[in-house]
Amino acid sequence: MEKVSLQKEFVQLIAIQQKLIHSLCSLYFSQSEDRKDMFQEIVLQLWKAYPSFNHQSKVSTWMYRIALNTVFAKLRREKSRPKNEPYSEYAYQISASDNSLELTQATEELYRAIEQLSDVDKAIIMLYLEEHSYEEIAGILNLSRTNVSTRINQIKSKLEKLLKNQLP
Amino acid sequence: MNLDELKPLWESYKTQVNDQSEWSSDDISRLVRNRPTPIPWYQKAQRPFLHFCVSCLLISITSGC
Repeated sequence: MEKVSLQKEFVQLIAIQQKLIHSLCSLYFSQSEDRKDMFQEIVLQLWKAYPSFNHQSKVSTWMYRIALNTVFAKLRREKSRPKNEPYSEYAYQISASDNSLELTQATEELYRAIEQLSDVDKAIIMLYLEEHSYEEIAGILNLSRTNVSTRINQIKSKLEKLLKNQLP
Repeated sequence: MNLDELKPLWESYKTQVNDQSEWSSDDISRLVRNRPTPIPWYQKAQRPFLHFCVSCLLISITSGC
């Protein structure tokens, strides 16, 4: 396929599916600039991989696999980076004011609860809520099906505790 | 609690996040078009090759060749 039409097709795909990428970025990065950077990085990684995407798996499965790998790689890089000096008071102020997501109370509570899960658990619950089967989740995250099933049960009890008295 | 009960809430969360972060097709197109060109393999190999040549030179000098 010609590069221009391939690019057009890809842009259309991202325009339709970008919700998926934005929600993923918002779960892992609280700062709006970080979310924006991550969105760009994920789109570029998807674009790089797009010519070899053979449409044998679902588009969302392919996108999640690449997006999550990109997020985890970024988180690993951040963890391995030496810690800087403690933030100044000014930096804290910027940090507090920059999380510019405006959510309704119920969605904010869900966000806060999922935010407290580990990085892998966040991915599992997100994929579960996106109606992916246990097999698909296991495939995307390179885990066994049993592991996914066990973790979902653990996540369920954690969320139950966290959301207790918060949801109707 | 049944996790499936959270699905409508998750959909609502996604919509709210997307409404605040959505990119237009033009923005996406610009991002993809401006993607930096990949570095050719021979440019990546330049520095290791230089190190190898300097090492060979130093070995040949110190060994008296």
